[in-house]
Amino acid sequence: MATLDLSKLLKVFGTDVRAVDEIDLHIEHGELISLLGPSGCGKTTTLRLIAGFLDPNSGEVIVDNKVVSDGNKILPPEKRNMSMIFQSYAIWPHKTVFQNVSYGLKFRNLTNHESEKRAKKMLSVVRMEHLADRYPGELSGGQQQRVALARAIVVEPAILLLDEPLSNLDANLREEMRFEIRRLHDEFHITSVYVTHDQSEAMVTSDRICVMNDGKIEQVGKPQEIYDEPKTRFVAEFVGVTNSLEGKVISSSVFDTGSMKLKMKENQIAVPGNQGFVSIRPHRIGISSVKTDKNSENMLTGRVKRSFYFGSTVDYLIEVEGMDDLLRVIVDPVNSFQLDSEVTLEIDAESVVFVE
Amino acid sequence: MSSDETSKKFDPSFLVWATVAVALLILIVNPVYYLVQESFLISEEEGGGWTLQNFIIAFTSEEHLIPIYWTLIVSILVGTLSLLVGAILAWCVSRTDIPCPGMIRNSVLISFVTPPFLGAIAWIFLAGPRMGWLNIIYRGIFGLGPDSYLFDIFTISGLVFSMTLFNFPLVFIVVLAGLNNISSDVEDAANIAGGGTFSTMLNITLPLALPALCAGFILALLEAMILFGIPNVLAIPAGIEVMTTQLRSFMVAEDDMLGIASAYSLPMLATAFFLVYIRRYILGRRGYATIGGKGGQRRPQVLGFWRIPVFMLCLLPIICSVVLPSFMLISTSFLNTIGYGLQISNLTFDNYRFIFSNDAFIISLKNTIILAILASTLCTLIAAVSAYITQRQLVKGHKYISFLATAPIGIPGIVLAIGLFSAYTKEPFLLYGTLWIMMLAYVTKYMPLAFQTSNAGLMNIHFELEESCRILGASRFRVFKDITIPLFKVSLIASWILVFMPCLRELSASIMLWTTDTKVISVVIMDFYEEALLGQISAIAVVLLSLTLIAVFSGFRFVGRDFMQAREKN
Repeated sequence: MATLDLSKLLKVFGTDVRAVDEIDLHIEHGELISLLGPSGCGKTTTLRLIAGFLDPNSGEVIVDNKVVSDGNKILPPEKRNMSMIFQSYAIWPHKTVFQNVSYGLKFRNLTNHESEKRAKKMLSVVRMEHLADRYPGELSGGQQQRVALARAIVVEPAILLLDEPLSNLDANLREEMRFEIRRLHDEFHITSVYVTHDQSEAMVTSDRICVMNDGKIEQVGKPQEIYDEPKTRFVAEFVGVTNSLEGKVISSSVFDTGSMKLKMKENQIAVPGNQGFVSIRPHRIGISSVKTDKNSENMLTGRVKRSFYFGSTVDYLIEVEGMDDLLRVIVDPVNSFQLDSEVTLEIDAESVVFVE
Repeated sequence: MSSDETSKKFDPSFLVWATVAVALLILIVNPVYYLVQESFLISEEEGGGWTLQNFIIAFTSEEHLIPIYWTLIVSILVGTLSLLVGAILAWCVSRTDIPCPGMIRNSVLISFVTPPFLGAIAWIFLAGPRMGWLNIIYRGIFGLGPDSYLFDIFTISGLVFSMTLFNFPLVFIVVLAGLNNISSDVEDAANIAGGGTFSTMLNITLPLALPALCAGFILALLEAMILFGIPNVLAIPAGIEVMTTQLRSFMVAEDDMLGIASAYSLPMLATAFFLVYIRRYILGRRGYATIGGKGGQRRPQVLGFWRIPVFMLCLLPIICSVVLPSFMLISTSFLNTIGYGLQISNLTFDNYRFIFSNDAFIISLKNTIILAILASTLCTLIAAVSAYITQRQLVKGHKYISFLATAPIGIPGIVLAIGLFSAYTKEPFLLYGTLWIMMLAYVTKYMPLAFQTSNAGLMNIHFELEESCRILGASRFRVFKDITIPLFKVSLIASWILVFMPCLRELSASIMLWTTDTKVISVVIMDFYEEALLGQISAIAVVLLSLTLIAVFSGFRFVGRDFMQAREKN
């Protein structure tokens, strides 16, 4: 186990592509943090900088207070006591499952007997012991992923790096493996960095999420913080679905969209007079067909323009007077509303979050 | 920081990449540089200095312009005919329900085993005006005198015919690969949109196959332009010179005509490079999304009544390029007198006795095998490292390395030999007269083949397979030993064998560079041909084909059935 620090880490590709733009990040002992962002945001580059496959232009990668990469020197990957799980699994096709898993133990000063015991135990942890003598070509995608996990964890690395490990699996298996990764983390408590572009994957697996965009960190926080208290419009829109309304801050708890004033959650970054957005999650908006007084606080009237039935929920797109975009509302299907019918929307001030 | 840490300022792998870059520069740039320089030089005997005289002599006399004319005519005819035969055959194999498409495909691939110049000699046994079997049969049927004949292979049409036989497989392979990548889905889509079978073929299949058709045509055209063997065997006796045979005449002339030869070869070099560039441009365009995509199933066109007749027609080019020539060479090698047929009294081992007691042949056999082993080993090594550097993008200039390694596709063997001759006949690099200069020629000539084989092999080894090994604690070297080499081995063997085979029968560069001690088999065959020792040539051909077949079968054994396909990927 170890702590990991990134300090002013910079990686430039070509002459001016700042793939990782002077980021700072602290990761605790035994913490699982995910780097979440769209493709090209720099998350995989960050991971490869941590692993030592890439050298930073400047800044430092620090493991347990020891600098392993800076602008001048880098410790080669094999000396870092890290493990990595790759997008392509990278299971060696010419070695059996057992040989794959036990390979890394060769470099760990163990007796043959010890390493065999550890590899076997690890295979049983990922429930692959009955396939130990198979070659990877004979395994399914999920089984290969388990081998990759076992191979990475068996060496008891200081830091485990995961590079979109589930992106090649089909939807059902992906869901299962998410929990598997979290289960293994709870069992071994290895400091882990998990790169993904899938927000639900990040939510389920991580202690904290670091949302990245354009080489920079947008926000770091617990999954619930990221979801409920996004700091930027990018985070609000990338993590989950949301309605973003543009306007001006009137006071620390009042926001003016131009056509209406909304009461919002108290917010330190909301400086009166600033331009910005508020984010309102679609399922935090109450909807009813009862007509109410138009002037009530955070109550709007609108007209149903479209609806989409998803089984467990229904999405409505509501036209609200004075608003350019349709407002999205997600409700339980027990409430149903006719197209073009007039509805009343009620938004709890706690759900109106100011973002930059 | 501890001593384990690598400074970014010095990377030891730099030495490897620098060595390979220098090797490629010496192999490819050096001969081309000397060739161009030589074309502007006055010969030493006449005092040296710069001149344009070489170009004036090379391109003003009628004697030198006629070969250019014939090269143009022959190349265009051979290119067009090869396109017709190769494309139709490929379509039948890929898109129709003719019987045994796999057999036809493999037989066409096998035709690479016969060197073109031996194929041409075999066709002399079939269609030579006097002793050709077809003419003997013709005279027999009509009871005609010994002077009458039906076919004469020693004519322009004979030349075009035999060159087409050995060029159409190039088109076939490229077009087949192209057609196999077009899934029936796109044709179904056209059918659903209301297009009939014919309209679909004209509007969908043909345009999608067009890049492959163009590439195949260009390849056949190029090959016809730079071929030396068949013209040397068939055109010279017919009194026709093409550019390649004219270049050879310059080089064996009494006077020093190296400068003129260099000047004369430059347009050929430029044309070859231009054709290769055009071909790359056509194949490299990304507009054809289905090609290389997740190809769906292909439904064959049902031929119905025509199934068997079309099959017979498909067999015809294979019979002419593989079956008949092999049969003629093998049977002739056991004949006492050519032209008397396969009778017991006419059978003999004398031809084999003759060649194995002939010093020149024994030396050439030894030289050929040494050269083929050395050249394929060196070629495979340089190509493998170059491909590795390119695929893993280890250095900034990796694109230049791949360009250099594939550039010899655009350097005709005979032109390369003139360049090597200019570069290595003077101090400080005196290599002329040694096997080394020929080895340089072979390594350069087959570098693209080896590079493409290695490249294709490496594409299947995802870089994460190596990174996953490093992060677990293995050094760069250990990763090579445990992961890269074991996974790359098969491609290396394939590349070695694919270079070894053509080295056994390389002619166009060898014929310019040999000396008495450095003769190779192909050169001895040409010597024997000038002395009209046709039975003995057939015996050598059988030895040569046996060696090649051993290589092919080792390839099948070590690499698997599809190893000849590596050629298709270039």
